[in-house]
Amino acid sequence: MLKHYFRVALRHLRRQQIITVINILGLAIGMACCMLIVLFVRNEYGFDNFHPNGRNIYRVTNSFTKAGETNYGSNTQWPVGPYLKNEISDIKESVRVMNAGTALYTYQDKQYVDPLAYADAGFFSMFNFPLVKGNAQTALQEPYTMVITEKIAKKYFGNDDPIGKILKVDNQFDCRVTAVVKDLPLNTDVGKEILLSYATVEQLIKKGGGSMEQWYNFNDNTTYIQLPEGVSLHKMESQLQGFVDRHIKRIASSLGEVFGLDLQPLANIHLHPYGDKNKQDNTHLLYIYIAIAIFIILIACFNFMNLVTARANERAIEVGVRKVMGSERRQLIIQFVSEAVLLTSLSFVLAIFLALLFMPWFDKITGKEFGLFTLGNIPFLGYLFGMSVIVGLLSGSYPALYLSGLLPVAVLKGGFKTSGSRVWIRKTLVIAQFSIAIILIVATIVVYSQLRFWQNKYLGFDKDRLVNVNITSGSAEKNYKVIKEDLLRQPGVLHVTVSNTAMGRYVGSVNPVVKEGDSEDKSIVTSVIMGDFDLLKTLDIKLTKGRDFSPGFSTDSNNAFIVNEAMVKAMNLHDPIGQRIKWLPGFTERKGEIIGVAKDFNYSTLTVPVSPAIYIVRNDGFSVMSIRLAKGGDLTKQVADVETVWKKYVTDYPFTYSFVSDDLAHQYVNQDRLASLFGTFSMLAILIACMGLFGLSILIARQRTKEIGIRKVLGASTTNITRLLSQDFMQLVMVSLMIAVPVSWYLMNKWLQDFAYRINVEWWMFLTAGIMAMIIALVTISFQSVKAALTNPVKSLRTE
Amino acid sequence: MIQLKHISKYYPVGFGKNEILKDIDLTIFEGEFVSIMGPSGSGKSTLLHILGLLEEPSQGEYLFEGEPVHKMNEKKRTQLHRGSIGFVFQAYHLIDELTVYENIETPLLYKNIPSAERKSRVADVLDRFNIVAKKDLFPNQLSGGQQQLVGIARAIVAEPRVILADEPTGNLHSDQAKEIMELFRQLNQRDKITIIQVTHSELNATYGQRIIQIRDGKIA
Repeated sequence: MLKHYFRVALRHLRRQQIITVINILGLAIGMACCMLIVLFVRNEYGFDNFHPNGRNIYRVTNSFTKAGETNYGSNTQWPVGPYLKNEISDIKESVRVMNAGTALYTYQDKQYVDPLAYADAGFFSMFNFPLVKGNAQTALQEPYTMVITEKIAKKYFGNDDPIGKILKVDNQFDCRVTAVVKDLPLNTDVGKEILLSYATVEQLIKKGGGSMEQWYNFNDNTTYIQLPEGVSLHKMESQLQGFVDRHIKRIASSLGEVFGLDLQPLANIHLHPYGDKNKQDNTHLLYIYIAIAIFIILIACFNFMNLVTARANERAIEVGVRKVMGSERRQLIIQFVSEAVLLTSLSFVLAIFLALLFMPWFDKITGKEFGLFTLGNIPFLGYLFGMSVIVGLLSGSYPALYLSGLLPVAVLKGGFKTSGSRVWIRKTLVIAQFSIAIILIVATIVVYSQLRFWQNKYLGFDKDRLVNVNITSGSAEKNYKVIKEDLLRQPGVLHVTVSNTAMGRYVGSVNPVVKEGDSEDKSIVTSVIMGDFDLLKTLDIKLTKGRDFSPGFSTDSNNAFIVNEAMVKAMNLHDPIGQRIKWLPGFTERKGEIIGVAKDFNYSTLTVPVSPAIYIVRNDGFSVMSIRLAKGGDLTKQVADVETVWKKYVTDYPFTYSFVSDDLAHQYVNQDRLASLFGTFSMLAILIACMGLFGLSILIARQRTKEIGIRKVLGASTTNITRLLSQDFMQLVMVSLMIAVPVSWYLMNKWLQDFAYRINVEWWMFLTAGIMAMIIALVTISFQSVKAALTNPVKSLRTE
Repeated sequence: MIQLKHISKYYPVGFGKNEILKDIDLTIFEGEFVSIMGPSGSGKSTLLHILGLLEEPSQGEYLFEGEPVHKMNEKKRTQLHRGSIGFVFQAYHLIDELTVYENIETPLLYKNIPSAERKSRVADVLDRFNIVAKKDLFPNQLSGGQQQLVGIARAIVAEPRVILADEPTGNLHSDQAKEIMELFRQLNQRDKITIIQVTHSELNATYGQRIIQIRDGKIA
């Protein structure tokens, strides 16, 4: 019987070629989108889910409360890890991982710049990163030892055995490779390509005369702890509170802050990168992606439902005859559903091809390397196939219930007419499709406008032709003065400054600052920029009051500050110039006078507001040289000139630079991705919806052949007929627009709420989306309407 | 075999009702060949639909082989469609996507007859109706008369005890019509199948043994 059904189904598909192509292609595009999105979402949700102890591993996160406002973060102080393990018996193991940016690794005559991170010796027992060579227990025990991935081993040493090889790190110390770890999976934040032992940090600090026992100094240091099975988190909470009280409370309260520690399950880390309580919650984005996937597949399903039911009168006789021959309703339902499942299975196969075709594009916008046919994906493909069967069942069920419910008498008398309620459902589905499509178009316009706004907004400094060069490594820091002088002699170089702040990436330090005379608990968390005298000039930051630093004032290099407007506001200074403030970086303090107020500027992303900042002049502790190149002139040559100068003085470290504008653009990677996905998927949504509209217009024109013929005989013009056939559909698109406008207005405003600097959702965005949808729909429909209107009535009437 | 007692059929129209059939009493015996005649709109097709369990009477009793049809559930009715009643339509109503062979085979599929037996029964019918050569053609490749032949073949393949035919020759020219009517007569006489046909044609009506005239919903 099933064979019989499939035979009939296949013949139907073949006979209705255009409709079949519309259905299969629409569903395939929808499924392909789903596959890619599911791949992405699954990867995002599955970060670090492969550690057998994972359920019991937590990251220690922090919170600072000051003046009623609490900030959450994920960094912990150096001593937190080891002390926690010693003092709280419930903690089985603690492992610290510290990121230290990039480093220069030298092996024989070859140099590589790669990320640098340190980890405690327990790293490989806590986490599941299998070693290819070496001993997991001892690999990171001694100072100056390191573990690298197979990829890095291959890159550095080719086919030689990496174990025991010595690499020079940042030209400062030698480090020995003790183990090689299997290449990292895509879904890990914890794993690092290069890990040095934490004992190395201890040695380095000790050598520099410093101490690891700094309870209020924060690096990019993460503490993971492992609890035994079944420990109550509630109990841990109070133990952590006791720990904070013992070690950190006193320092924190001296600065007017309340410090707290919290635990975050390993599984949450990726989507809540700054702790569970931090505002940054990447699950929202995933929900948006999932919603897009569901929307697209829904649009395709609606096409299927509409095209099948619109052809009901063609299938009705078959239904009637089958019933008369003794078919039960159940059997008819099975028949129609199996037709749908057959169709979706064909679509599924096509969808896999489409997904593979678009994989490189998808990899590019997600910045990951997905494979569809990887070993781990075999069960996943099974799920996907299951998904396609469900899609088939869903989209097949409504037509099946409808068609199987037709009464043979009504059908066989020949007077079958699509009933009012069915037309109503069809219209509803079309409206739903176009509403979704228009919402997606509006979303695309809003997201792109927001990105454009960010790119074009004046940041308070000039980001164009501004180059940052790192000077922490090698001999650059020592020689920066000569380099600067030499650079200034180049025709393409206007200004040069050195500072601790890389515009577009980070601001050097964040410390408390307080009005002189006020107690320290009134201090304000302030971004502190330390630079030479040319900072404002080079970055082109304008002063609103007072003057810039100048070497002519002997006090400027010690006892003077320039603050930004946000700082003035935060400190509530009415007449800032001449006011005295105190900077408390922890180990010392510096008092001085405010000599100038700078306009607010955003050093990083415009998703967050400008924070209070001060600028002081220093002689050392710089990490970045910022070079202002002349506008106009060959940029490539300007950079090449800079490099030539650089290499004269810095021979021990490769020249690495970045444009501030690029670094800034990089801050919007999430929004960029969203824009690309919205853009593509809204186009696809409109495409699928229009394919459905096209199919419907064919079917309806076919059903109205006789009517059109009669109207023409009675004198209707081609225009009359075209309008007659198009206007119904256009009304539907209008209704969709009316639904889509408030919904998208609400959704997009909600999305924009998260950003400190944002555009308004404006009427022209809806207008553009609406006009786009209308025009595309009109073109789609009129193709068929005009054709029907041009048909010779003699022909159409004779066929009846 | 078939007994109708006080059968009425009406549809609500506005506040009143539109009576199609009024108080019909009718008995049809096993092996009869009955023609129902009457002008357009007299209710003859509705009567046939009620006989074929496609419509329910508004009032009255219908006994099929002594069993009250109006008390049967959906399943039982389906059983009757599968085994006891065959339909022939004016517009043939073959399934366009199925070949001649498959169209004839379909009722047997619903009766769950095993494949081998299906094959032999379809082959028998094809043979008997002289349409073996056409078995792989689709309906739209056949003439009207040939299509109706297939329609009848499909109606009898499940070996029903009664065939209900709604103007079976309405779309055919007279030569084809004659052929079809001869076939009905043969089915009635040789195979002892009860036949009830609705027709406009006096000539066709003569093939039956009894003529029932319907006028304004009543047997005249």
